[in-house]
Amino acid sequence: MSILFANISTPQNITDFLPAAPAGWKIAMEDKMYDSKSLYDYIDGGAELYISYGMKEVISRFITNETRDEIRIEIFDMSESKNAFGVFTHTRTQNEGIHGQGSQYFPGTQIFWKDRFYVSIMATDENETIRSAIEDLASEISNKITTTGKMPDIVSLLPEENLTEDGCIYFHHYIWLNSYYYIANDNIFGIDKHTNAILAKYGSKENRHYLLCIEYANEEKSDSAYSVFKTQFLDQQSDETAMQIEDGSWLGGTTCGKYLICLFNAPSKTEINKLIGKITENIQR
Amino acid sequence: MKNSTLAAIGASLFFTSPMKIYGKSRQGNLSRVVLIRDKNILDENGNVNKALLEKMLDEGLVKLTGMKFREDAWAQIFKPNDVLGIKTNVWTHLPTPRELENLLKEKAIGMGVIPEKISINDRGVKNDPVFQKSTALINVRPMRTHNWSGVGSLLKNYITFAEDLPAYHPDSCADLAKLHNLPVTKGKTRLNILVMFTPLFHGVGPHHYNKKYVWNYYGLIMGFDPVAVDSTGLRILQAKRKEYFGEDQPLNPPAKHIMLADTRHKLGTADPGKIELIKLGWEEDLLI
Repeated sequence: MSILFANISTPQNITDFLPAAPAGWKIAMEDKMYDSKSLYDYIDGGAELYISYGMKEVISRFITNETRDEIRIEIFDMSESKNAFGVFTHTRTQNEGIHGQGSQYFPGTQIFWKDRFYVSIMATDENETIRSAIEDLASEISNKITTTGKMPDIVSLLPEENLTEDGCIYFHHYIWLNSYYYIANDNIFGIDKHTNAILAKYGSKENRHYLLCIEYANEEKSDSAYSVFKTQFLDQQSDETAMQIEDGSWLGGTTCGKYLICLFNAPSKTEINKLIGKITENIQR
Repeated sequence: MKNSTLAAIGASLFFTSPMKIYGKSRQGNLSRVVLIRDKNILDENGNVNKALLEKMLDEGLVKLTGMKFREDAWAQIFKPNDVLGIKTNVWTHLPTPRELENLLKEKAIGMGVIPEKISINDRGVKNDPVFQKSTALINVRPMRTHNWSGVGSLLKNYITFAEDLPAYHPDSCADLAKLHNLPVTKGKTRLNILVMFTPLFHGVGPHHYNKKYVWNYYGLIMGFDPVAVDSTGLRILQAKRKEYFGEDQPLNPPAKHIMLADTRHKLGTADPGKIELIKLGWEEDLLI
């Protein structure tokens, strides 16, 4: 089966990971590759998510069976493992840990990440035959990717106590700042491809609070971001690093070296001090 | 954020407690929106009952226009000399129902519009002579979540009129309202219909569709103000997400283009406090 390159000048090795069609299935059409420019032609309205995480290219293969079920296999080369992990954290609601370095099955859809690759296997429907084929395909692709990647270091800074299981999202594009909680419309903290940001959920559903930690290139940038935080969220007449807002919740923030740390919707000032204290310890460790 | 009206509006539209933040509405300056539902509009296979659909459209339009009779209501929408573009949406997983497209065309013909001067189109509008010469547009599409603009909305539905699509992508499609001010669209939209039969309230995967995340809502939202209609649909989607996930689960990214259509572009109102929402039909699980 030949590969049709769509606006790609240098093919990459994601082709090596393409799985064979399981028994009873056949490849439906030519495989296709897309880069960040041609991705718009492929994913109607959805390309930006992958581009915002630094996608380099994607290969897609369609397979079909006698009953005309269809499965779409997509392997994204996200340039760096932190990006593959980031896209996964954006989409998953829990890590079932079956495939690659993190995976989740939704009805008719399997996603996982491994090394710098993010994989999506998606069917138009779901039945036992499809589920079994998706499982085989995911296993094969995961086995073919023989390398593993590192999660972004910033993830390891999160205090574990009261952290919601799989309740964090890693990103370096400001659009994802509001993933769990509305913080700001604009890129007030200067998040870009040179920063690493993580947003994490703490506490129970009834008592949810959100920790934002951003790693900048240097202290000057984190200080500057803190100034924005203070201007936008805190009482400028006071040196307090936390305050209670109209709805009764607390918010607070600080810097630790090149890191900006903020907590939103906290139940108390004590909780702010505790969480920020803990992550500061982790940074300084 | 302190001292930021925009932030307050954003928070209220995207998440909870909108009335509290917007404050009291200004009487006499409301955008009227009609939400009409019928639990029998779809059969067990998802097919649309055309007779019930016509009843919903007629009743909804009568309320929206304030007319007494349906003929008078439709006469507010279509004129015999109109060149009419019905801007639909053909997204594979959740297209505008064909029955609704055809019914709108029939209604227009019934009001005297010449069939040859009516076109139903989505991705081909730029090369469609009827759309290019149109005097009237109907904007009709289903609402769904979208992984860059927050939701696929009526505001976004005019994206296929754009010459340069990527120009509308920055800042999660913040300025989609501009699409309603293009020479080919400006001032032409006679009616906006957001289809809420089976909305998609959450997305998974590159192609952002999973049957697990649609539900039968059996509704249509109609209005003259696309921002108000979208804002109403968005609140229903947010409420469904909260019900499903058991906590506030904001759209990711937020559908800021709806708020900015109001605050930045002044195309209409996104403020629930300035929307007169008329609810008709089936009342169970309204979510709004």
